[in-house]
Amino acid sequence: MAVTVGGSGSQTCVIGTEHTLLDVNTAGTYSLGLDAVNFANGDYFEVRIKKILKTGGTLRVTYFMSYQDAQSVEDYGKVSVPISNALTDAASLRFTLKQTKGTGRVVDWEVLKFA
Amino acid sequence: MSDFPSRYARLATFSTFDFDASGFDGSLKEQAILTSHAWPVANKAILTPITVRTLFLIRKFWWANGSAVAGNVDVGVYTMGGARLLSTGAIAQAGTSVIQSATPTAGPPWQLMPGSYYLALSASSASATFISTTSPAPREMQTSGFAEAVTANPLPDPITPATMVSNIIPLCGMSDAPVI
Repeated sequence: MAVTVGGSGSQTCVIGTEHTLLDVNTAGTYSLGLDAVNFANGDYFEVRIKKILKTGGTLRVTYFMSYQDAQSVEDYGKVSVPISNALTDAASLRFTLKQTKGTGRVVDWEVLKFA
Repeated sequence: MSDFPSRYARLATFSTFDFDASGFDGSLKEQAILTSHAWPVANKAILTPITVRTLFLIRKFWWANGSAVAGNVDVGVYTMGGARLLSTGAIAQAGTSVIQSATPTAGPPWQLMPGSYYLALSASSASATFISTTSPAPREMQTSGFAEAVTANPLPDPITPATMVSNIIPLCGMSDAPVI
């Protein structure tokens, strides 16, 4: 199975703003990875993966995860479960990051595409 | 990431006296005698550490008023690092010897992911009473993970947890149900 980078970057979080990390419009299976090294006590992050179920459909939150405070050095890497897409809408899948508490952090991220 | 099984396993309610509230699987629970006690200091908050094992939807916070009511009450959830996630805001304490509830200012429902948190209650008046226990000594509460904060009504964001000096544990909680 070929594994390629669907997208990557460093997101500077603005408190209360949901940042779109990547929109996907290509069929495949995807997984989001985050680097939590900059998370600190008093921070709170929400991670969402949204998906449409048919062409022209509406994005719905399909997977949600939250992280609070500084993370263990043994757990800086956060990886989502894979999610599949067969559609070609501009935003068939959407990966977002929202920091709601603390000081805005820079979070490195990567979306891998499997096949 | 959340997945289907956790959603169907979620709890309906959670209180400071549940088994997943720290200290209440051992001696503190056995010692607990729930009766009406006055709040120790005006504007103090008591932070009960809780472990949420499955996804929890918060629709209401509730607390148990004692034999006299006074001032305002604020109940909410904090991260262990002190970030306020959700709270009721200042609510006038009303009704003696009843369960009083309030809707969080954000949501509802508000989705709490599995993890460790503080369930906090603060009261603006030392004349306010709550169904609670004063059985454990502060050192027992310290070793069970409790914390407190002064000048904390309404509940501030963030909050700075401090070492327990008081020894009251109020009966309060959060619920997925729209009616308490």
